[in-house]
Amino acid sequence: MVGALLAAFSVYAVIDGGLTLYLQRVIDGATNGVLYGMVALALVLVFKATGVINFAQGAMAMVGTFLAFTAFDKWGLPLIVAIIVGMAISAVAAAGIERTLIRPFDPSNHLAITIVTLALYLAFNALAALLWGFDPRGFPSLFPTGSGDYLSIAGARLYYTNLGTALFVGLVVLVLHLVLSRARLGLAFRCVATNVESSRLLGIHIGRTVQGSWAIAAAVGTLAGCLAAPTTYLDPTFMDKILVYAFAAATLGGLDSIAGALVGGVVVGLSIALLTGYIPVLGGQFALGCAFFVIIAVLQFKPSGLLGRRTQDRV
Amino acid sequence: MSELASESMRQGELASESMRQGELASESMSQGELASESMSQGELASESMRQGELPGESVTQRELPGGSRTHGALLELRDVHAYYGDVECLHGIDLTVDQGEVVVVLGANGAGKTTLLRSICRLVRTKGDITFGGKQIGGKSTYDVVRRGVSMVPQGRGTLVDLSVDDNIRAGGYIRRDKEVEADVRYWYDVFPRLAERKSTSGGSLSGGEQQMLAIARALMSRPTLLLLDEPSLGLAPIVVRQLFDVLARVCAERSVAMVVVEQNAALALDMAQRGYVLEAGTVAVTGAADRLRNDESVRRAYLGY
Repeated sequence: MVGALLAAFSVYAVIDGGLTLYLQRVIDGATNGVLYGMVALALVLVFKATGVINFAQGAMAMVGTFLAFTAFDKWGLPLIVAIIVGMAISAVAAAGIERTLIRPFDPSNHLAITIVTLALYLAFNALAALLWGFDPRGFPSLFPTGSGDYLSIAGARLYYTNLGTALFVGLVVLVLHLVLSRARLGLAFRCVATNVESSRLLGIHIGRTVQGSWAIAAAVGTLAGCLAAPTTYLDPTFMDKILVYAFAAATLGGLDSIAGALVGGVVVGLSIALLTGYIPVLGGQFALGCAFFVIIAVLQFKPSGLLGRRTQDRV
Repeated sequence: MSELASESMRQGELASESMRQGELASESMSQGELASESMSQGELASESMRQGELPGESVTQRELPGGSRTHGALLELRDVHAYYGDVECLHGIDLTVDQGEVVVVLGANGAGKTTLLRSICRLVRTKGDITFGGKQIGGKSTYDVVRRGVSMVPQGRGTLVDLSVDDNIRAGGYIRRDKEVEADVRYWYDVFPRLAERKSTSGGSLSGGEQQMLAIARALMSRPTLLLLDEPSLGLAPIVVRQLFDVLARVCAERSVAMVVVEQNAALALDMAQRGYVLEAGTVAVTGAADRLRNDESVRRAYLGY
């Protein structure tokens, strides 16, 4: 049903604006989508380990991106090293936050922890405003950004930046997959995500495992921030919109599925690009509204998402 | 369950009620004393509490022959109280388990059997002495206790439903870093060929019996010296139960693993065990050698049904 609708919409779009424009919008949508997917991935990592959505995930990524920017701009490190430094500091800071602000709370009290993450969101925004101010800054790209640096696909332009971003996201997913399936921490993480009490009985340290997921999520978020910043500009609110899209992506993907987060991100990116591109009434400003509709529609009609596990407690 | 059993339960509740009052009194009395209460004082207190119970009624602890051992036990609980929040669920339990010994814990619903196991593996807050392998573990966390050699099969089997059968077994060896882990994984596939067949399916898709096999393999993967089993036969077909208990008895004898088995199927558990404890309302009501318990009239009526 959805597939047929999508096909019909594509045919309409191609007739309406031509194949090149259609492809261009698909490329743009998908590229934005993988970034949303990456932030969604960070959300899912924390959610799986704790059952809580970290509302500060975007703000943490924003601060991490600012740190990378400082390392590049002030300390004169090469961009790629600066980004890695930003990711490392984010990870350590997130581990500290988990230990001091999250772990003291009863882990089953999701509401309290969620409120803490909301407070963290405000705190990070204030901190960034204090340290770096509200003036938007240009963030350098890792990839060539000249006007001629693109691949042409039937007239549509696939910029190297887009391609590079997608490759980075692919790399992150691959590394995460290997860590989760092969490493000891990965096994502990999957155990804790499935059954906390059984994990405890196996001698797994729940706190340290959750802490590890916070650290990894923060590093992934900062990388997403550094990849997004060249196109959005860097200021204390630049991750806010992206976080909302990431919520939509994570919800669509099923919240507890890592692959689902990525797929959800791409679908959200595509729907925003195509709906706002081809339905004039919606216009470019309606992008956030699209995310809202995705979230509501998924929660209403398929609460487990595209790839999520249906939660059904055995009685 | 027979009427007699529920009768004795009610009496047990009454007794525990009076005990709680007794405790309050003894607590207020001992307020002036040093904070670090010496052991003998604790014992004295619990002794006097017992004497203060309903005179001659059923719940004073009866000790059948073969019940008490004190020296060199693997696990020793002395006057252990357990709490969920502010509510006290165990009211001064004494229990010992020797190296390689199988001990069964019987009792009605709500008697505190599960809480007893959870006290040993540190999933509930307790007061009193718990020593394991000669070391005090009363203040330790589950993380530490598991590393010292305690393993538990929780009620409901504790399957990691999203993980594959293989990962479930490997997760059992999480605390180990030695070279023999692989050999142990193969060993368990030999013991339970059913699990080998379903190696890569998710743990949650297994039947109840298969999940119980998985739980036993997972719990023994850590090479414990004490295995705690909470209702291993619950919801399983009798033939499966028989098979599981045979494996358990064989493996634990081979490796000299001690077991504390909480079980509704008293006849089966008493067959396997050397000694047993009967809990009533959070206290030990009867204790003794397994065959003595089997022949004890009140135990027979309440738990064996003849």
